[in-house]
Amino acid sequence: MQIQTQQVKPGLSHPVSDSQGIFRQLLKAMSEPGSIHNINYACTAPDVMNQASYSIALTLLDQTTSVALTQKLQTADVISSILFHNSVEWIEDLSQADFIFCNEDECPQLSDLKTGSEAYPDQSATLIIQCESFSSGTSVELTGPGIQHHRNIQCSAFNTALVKNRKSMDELFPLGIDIIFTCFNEFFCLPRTTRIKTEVSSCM
Amino acid sequence: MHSLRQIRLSTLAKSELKNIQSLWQNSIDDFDFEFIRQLESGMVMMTARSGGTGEPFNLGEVSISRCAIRLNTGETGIGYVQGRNKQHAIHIALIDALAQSKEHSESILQDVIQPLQLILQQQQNKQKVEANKSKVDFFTMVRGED
Repeated sequence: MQIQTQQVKPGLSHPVSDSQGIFRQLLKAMSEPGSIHNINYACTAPDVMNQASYSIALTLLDQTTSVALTQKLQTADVISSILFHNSVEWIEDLSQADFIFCNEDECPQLSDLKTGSEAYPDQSATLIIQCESFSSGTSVELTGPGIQHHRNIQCSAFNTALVKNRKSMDELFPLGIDIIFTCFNEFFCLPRTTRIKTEVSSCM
Repeated sequence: MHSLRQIRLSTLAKSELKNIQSLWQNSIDDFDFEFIRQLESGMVMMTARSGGTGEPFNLGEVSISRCAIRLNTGETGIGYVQGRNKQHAIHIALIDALAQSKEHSESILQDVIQPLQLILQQQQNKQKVEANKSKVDFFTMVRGED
């Protein structure tokens, strides 16, 4: 795929300091799974990408990483923008990619993605899921490192299939997939160390 | 072999900023544009081929400045130049973008690019004459063997 310069969206307005700021927020979010963070670095995202996803893409991708996009995100402006700004390797095969961007309704099977190897569990994929909302949808309970007791989080992407899918990855630990959920300019992380369960109503 | 745009970008990058400014009688403030890629300076590895045709090798790093801009009318221009002169890069990007618009393409080609090419040509010729002055011809002694 060639870069179509007319389709390229502007990058971060202060490439160095802004991407450092976003990276710091990602670290914080990864170490406190389920906590919602706000990315407030002005940038015009491609039409089908939300601002958080685009900021994360500009921060994490570079010429040493590969990225895959699900069908709905394979638009000329997304591809041109990330190729132009990040010189990233864009690949079709989700199972080979370091980073995968998807919409909540076309979330891939986690077990199909790169989970790393016993010797190098870090060589696994990071999945970025774009969501409709963090205030509607199924609520789940998270436990694990970075969470004192448990943390409840609601997200439109949590359906039975995804929760089951994510639970089935637990046995692979320390291999696994780290997930970032994004919505407009907000995001939260679900690293592989976190255990997830659908909330049982407390009236029982 | 080279597209018009390649020639344009090459000419602008090789020319001196003061020549560009004197020929292109506009200021960058006259135009409404946004940065697609912010102005930045950095290093790139310069590759060369021995004798121009041999295997490529790394000659060393050079500093470059670059940026990409988009006019409010939608044309996108890019500017790359050797050195750390960011103003030079922005001028190249802006002129590149303007040259893609119907309104300015003709005048930029005639008033900026072609005169700059002429100046570059003259500089090259002058250099050639200077260099030729010190040219040494080597003759091989004929040693009488067939």
